[in-house]
Amino acid sequence: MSPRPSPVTVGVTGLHAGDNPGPGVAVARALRADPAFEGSLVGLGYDAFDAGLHVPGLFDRAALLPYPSAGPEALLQRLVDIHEATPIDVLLPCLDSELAAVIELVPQLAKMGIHTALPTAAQLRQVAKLHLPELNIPGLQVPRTTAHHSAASLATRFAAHRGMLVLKGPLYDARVCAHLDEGVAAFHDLAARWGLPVLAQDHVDGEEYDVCAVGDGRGGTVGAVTMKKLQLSAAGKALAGVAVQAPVLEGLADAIFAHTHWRGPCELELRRDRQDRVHLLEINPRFPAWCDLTTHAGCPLPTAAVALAMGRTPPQCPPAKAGVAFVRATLDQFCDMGDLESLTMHGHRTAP
Amino acid sequence: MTVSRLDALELRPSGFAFDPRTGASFSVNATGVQIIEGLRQGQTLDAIVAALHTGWAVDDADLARDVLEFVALLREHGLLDAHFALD
Repeated sequence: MSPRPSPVTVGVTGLHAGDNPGPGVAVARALRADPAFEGSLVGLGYDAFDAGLHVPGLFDRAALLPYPSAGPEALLQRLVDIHEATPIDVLLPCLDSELAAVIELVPQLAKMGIHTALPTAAQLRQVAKLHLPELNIPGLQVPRTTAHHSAASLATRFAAHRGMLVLKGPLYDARVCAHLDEGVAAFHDLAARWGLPVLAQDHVDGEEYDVCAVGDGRGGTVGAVTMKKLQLSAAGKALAGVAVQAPVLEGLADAIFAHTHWRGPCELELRRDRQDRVHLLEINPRFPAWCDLTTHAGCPLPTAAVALAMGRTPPQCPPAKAGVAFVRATLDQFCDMGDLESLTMHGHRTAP
Repeated sequence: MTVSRLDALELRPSGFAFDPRTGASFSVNATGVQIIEGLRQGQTLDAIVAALHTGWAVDDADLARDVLEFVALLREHGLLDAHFALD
């Protein structure tokens, strides 16, 4: 019998948890739900109102970070302060917008003893929406995606495609647009919210499946779980979903990891059309907000990511148990004004 | 005869069915459960009709038509191969 690994302290970001939750609460809940995980959790939010900071029993300590727009230096300085108060062994960033800065800081973090399971900056660029066709994975279609810096260029795009387009922000958000008028309105809204360029992707009709997977950084797959969305929010996010047996889809994760040598978690957004062809809509370079399903379905990927970051051999992830489902709840979390005061004035609070 | 997707269907006694490959779920009544189980056992149309006949005062022709309609529904949902025909 091998000795149990020593407990680790894991910092988790992405803790807003309203109607479109970040992945952080799911990552933390997955770790808490896994008997194999031993350690404590530090919640790293961006706003005192990030609901994940106030979930009873979830985090041992909570602290605020500067917004990603403040840049890597400000983030590093804040992490130094937090690390002095509560040494962190592993940092699991969960938001697209913070990944570039954290990846840039990996060498400094490693010197501080903060381990990560992240791709390189080059790998991050490889899976950016506009670069997906270059992956050239056999058996995988990638819908045509174009970048637009002005709404005027959408007219030729709609005329050429003669079908629906999905307009996307550079990192977040997507709108299905049936015609140019809708496209122009969506362009201006997305540009105002998320900046330029706005991306236009050919709409693919079919069943959507999402794969949460962790790559080992050497071309292998630590584990992969496929989820079918059962109920959607207005924004197309899963309000309910179920783990399914999809070795073909999980094989695509294997192929992408073999090609990119991706290290760490990611989510593949896939659509299977009526001809059974699989289309890769995008790759999100972090855990999805449904990743606690992986733990409940018997393939605890957040625990595996912690092990990977620590340089340990991740536990064997068996195929997920099909039929394990989730139904998302939006809950009110209760706190005292003193907790909000502590976060706002001092940047941290004790365990909720 | 190809019934592989039907074989994989997780069919509960209540009539709730879950396809573990696609995530789709269905509900069928007791008669539907009986037909699906007959198909899984490779029974012929006559055998399925005969089994159903013991429970219902309906003539065989009506039962056979209803069974074939149900089989068409299963094909429509992709649970049976598009070319599947019940002999």
